[in-house]
Amino acid sequence: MTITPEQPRHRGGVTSDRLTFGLSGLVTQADGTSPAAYHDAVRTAVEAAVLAEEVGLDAVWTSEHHFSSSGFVPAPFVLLAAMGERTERVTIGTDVMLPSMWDPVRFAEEAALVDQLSGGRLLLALGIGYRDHEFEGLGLRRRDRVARFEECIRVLRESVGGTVSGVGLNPGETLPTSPTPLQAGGPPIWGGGKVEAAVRRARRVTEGYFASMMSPDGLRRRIGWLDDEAPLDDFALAQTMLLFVAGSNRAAEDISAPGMRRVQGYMQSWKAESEPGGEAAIREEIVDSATWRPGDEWQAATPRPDLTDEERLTHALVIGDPDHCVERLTPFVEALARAPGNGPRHLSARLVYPAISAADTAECIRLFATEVVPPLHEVFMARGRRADGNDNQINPIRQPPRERRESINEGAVQ
Amino acid sequence: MTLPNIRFSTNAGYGTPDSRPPEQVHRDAIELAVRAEELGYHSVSLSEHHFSDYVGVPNPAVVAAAIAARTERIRISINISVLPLHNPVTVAEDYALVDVISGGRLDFGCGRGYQPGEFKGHNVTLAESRTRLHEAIEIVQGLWTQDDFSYHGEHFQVDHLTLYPKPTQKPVPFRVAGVSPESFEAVAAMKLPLLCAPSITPLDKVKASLDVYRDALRSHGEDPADYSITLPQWVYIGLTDEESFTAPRASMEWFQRRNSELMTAGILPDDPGYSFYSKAQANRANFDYEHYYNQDVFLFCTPDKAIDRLRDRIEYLGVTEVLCAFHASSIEETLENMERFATTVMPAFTSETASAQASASVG
Repeated sequence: MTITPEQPRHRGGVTSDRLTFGLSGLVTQADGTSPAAYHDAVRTAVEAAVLAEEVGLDAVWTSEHHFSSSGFVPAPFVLLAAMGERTERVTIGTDVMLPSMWDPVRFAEEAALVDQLSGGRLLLALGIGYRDHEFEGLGLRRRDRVARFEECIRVLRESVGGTVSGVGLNPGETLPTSPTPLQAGGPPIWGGGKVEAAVRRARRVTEGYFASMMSPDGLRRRIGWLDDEAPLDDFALAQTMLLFVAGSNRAAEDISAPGMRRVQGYMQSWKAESEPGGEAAIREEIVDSATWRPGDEWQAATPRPDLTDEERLTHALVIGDPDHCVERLTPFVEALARAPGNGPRHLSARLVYPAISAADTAECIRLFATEVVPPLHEVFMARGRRADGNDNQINPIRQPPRERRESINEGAVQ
Repeated sequence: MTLPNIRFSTNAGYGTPDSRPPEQVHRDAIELAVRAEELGYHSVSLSEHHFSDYVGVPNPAVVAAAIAARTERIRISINISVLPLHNPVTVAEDYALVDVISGGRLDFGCGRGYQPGEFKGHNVTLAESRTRLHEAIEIVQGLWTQDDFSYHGEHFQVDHLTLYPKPTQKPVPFRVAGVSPESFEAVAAMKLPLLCAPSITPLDKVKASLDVYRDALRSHGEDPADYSITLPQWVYIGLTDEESFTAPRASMEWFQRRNSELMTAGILPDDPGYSFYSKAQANRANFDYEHYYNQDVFLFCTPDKAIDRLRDRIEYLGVTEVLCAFHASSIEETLENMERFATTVMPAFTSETASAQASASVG
């Protein structure tokens, strides 16, 4: 007996039978630090998630950052609960959350709660975190992050069975946890990160790898590390990047420039805070980058001596008309299609930025789903994946774009 | 005599002894909140509990955000967040975001908690709960209102921290729960409104406790009239006396039994701060439904009697809000009773409120 009108909903849209597409970066980056600006940003993020589902995308993603005046979300489960309430089909996920900053029991409880509320659509991509300011503000030390990350995943996994041990006042005692996740086996757990240790850790302790901000070569190299650590089998592979699509290359550059300057601004701040005199950068986060111009490449937050410039700076930022975006994303899709194994393959784009109007943002989401996704899916099928997801690099099967469009429309009315 | 502007609120319907699967329990809470908004309730109330199936969620902020996404007007009341269990910085982040998502509809309530199993699981001792609560309240309020906030306490350290986002409301309504007279005095010393849980305490004792709180407020130079007083009530509105007695019985007995089990599992008899709970537990372990029903501590009655009793209690206790914890044998009956209360009892007070406001504006 229940008062809830509909039956429990199905698991989210990220599956392994095709290339799935997501909307990343619903981090409610606010246009200013006032509560009103934040409220607008949160509403924009939730409405963007609703639109993403309407136009047939498969997943929406948020992330975690603390004490950031650029307007990031410190409590992703709270935002995901709101997004889950307004959507029915899409995966609601994190790319990435930082369990190293959480009490493991609290993390497991809230993950289970969001999974229950959303009808089993939660997917957790997790990273270890990198900003000292965030660890210190929460009373933690960055140097403990790997151990805390792995301990949190251990507790998360154990809690799926309804109990946890090794926590609390009496570590020998087994405690019941409530609720348990709705998804059998708990929400899928993926790992993030760029450096080799993080990538290999993702293969060892999680079920997928979510790459961000790198070149197709960088992605291929990481797929190699993963496969070297252990055969990929049903391990998931995903890639996200910054993207803005509009009717023409010129329009895309003009419309997105204010938003991109904001993104580059906080990236420059976070880079500065890890350098001498970084206190000032924490207090006065840069709002707009003074140096970034349309056509420039991505400027990363942290110096990465172990990454080449080619890996770090190329291909992370895609701005243009649909044809341009398809052309730029095709090498990523090829890398995903040709990877060994038969797990989920996912491509996600951040499409929502501060300082861009709601109408332009909505148009960007629509264009991505209707003009960029179908050709990329064709590439995916042509380059290796059969529709049953069991074979690679042989028997390319072309799927006519029209059928793909119809399936988008079906998705919109589900 | 006119009554003050009385608000009616409802619990989110977690305390029902049926066997719904967990996803249904949480989804039903959201549907109940949507319906409560349509029926004109002032707020819907959520509570925090861990490691059991008992009338709450591990983080009410998560369910609050889901409710906020589905409603426009109803306030979302946290009754309560168990602050001593957590890093207060995290609690401040969670609920600030709830206030932002809901467009400023958060009523925050916190307390020190009482279930020993929850403390053990969070690596916190019950003996520290009062001091941890006190420090955490200062930190949450500080982070919500100040930039570059620092606090150095016995349990928590915060150094030059600025929280983003801050809540939409300036300030967020902030209440602190109390059960024992010591807590009432402590809440008054903080100059904060008091939050009580529904109880089987006779009304004259509730009055005495509220007088302790009001006297303590006065001793701190405050006017008690400036402070809201919420009367929590276990409610079932029957169409007959027979129904009023019978329908909520199983739910109430289940609730008292669960509450008693969780309240004393692992409690230390020599913990002075919790001696009150030992006494309360003894009452609940031997819970005699008929005895308490006859004592009128519940609001299990027909609409006419409910109106009379509420009017008396509001006047006698100086109440500004009535928080209804509906008790029925299933979530459907809980919802029906919430509707029955809204259509048969609330109008008597909304019209009195209207006339009180009219006379106030004339005066």
